[in-house]
Amino acid sequence: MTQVAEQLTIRIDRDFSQTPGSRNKDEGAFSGEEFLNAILLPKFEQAEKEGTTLLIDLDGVEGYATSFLEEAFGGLARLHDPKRVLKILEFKSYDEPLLIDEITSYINEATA
Amino acid sequence: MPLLRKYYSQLIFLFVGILVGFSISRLPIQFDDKISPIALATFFLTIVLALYLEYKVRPSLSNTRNEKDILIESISDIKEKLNELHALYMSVRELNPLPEEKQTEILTKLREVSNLISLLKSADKYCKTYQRLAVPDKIIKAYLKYKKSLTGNKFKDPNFTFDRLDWKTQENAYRQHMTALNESIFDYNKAR
Repeated sequence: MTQVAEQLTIRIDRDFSQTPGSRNKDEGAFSGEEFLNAILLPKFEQAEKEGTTLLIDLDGVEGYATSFLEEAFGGLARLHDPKRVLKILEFKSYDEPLLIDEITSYINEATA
Repeated sequence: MPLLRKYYSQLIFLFVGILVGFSISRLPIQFDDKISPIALATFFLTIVLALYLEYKVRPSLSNTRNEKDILIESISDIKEKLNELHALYMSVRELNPLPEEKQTEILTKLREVSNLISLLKSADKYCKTYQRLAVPDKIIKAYLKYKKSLTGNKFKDPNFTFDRLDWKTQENAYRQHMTALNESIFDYNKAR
């Protein structure tokens, strides 16, 4: 009997920063670009390979600028099929539930 | 005795009914012995209609009004928070660079507005006695546009400053957000 692959998780406050920054690396620390390349993309590809989902825990940070979210999640959707991205990613945001709608819109509009 | 206490109003009505009936029979009034079927049908229809209005229509209208009031109150809360946010933006937009704590303060206010919109969305979902509207979607769209206009460029950069050329866009986004909120109040009010 084979086991179902366990869900992967990224907790942004713990795995990245409690103070996410701007869009690109040259605009300061903890940028969306840095998050995408160092954490989100490798974990996404791992989840895809293992056939599981990736839970993004958005809670515990000071707040997200649009530029950070667009670069990280819109950026992922520019590298992979947006439909696939939405299938694999799951979100948790008790602090600000509307963030999930916002991120979903960036993923959908990334290649538009 | 407990039975009397329980049904005292019904007993009073019964007693008054008997008295009235007895008094009417003593009055020199002539009643027609024939009963018109149309008059009888009208009589029963009136009773049925009165019961329907009292127990079906009135509570439904009252529930709808209460739900609308809840939703409109939620929109007023969003407007208040949005005004606070915009006042903060106005007070800091000339700072060069905009200190990081001010950037965080703006993000916190945005989060507060966002959470109030989220509450409205939940309330809208549970208010089911009126027709479905796309009000929360319209407000969310306006909110995201406003957020993008404020933080969309290089927010959280230590050297960030609000570009004077963007002020107009930010003002417009704020006005559009306010308009969406005001229109939503009318939308909810008009909804059936």
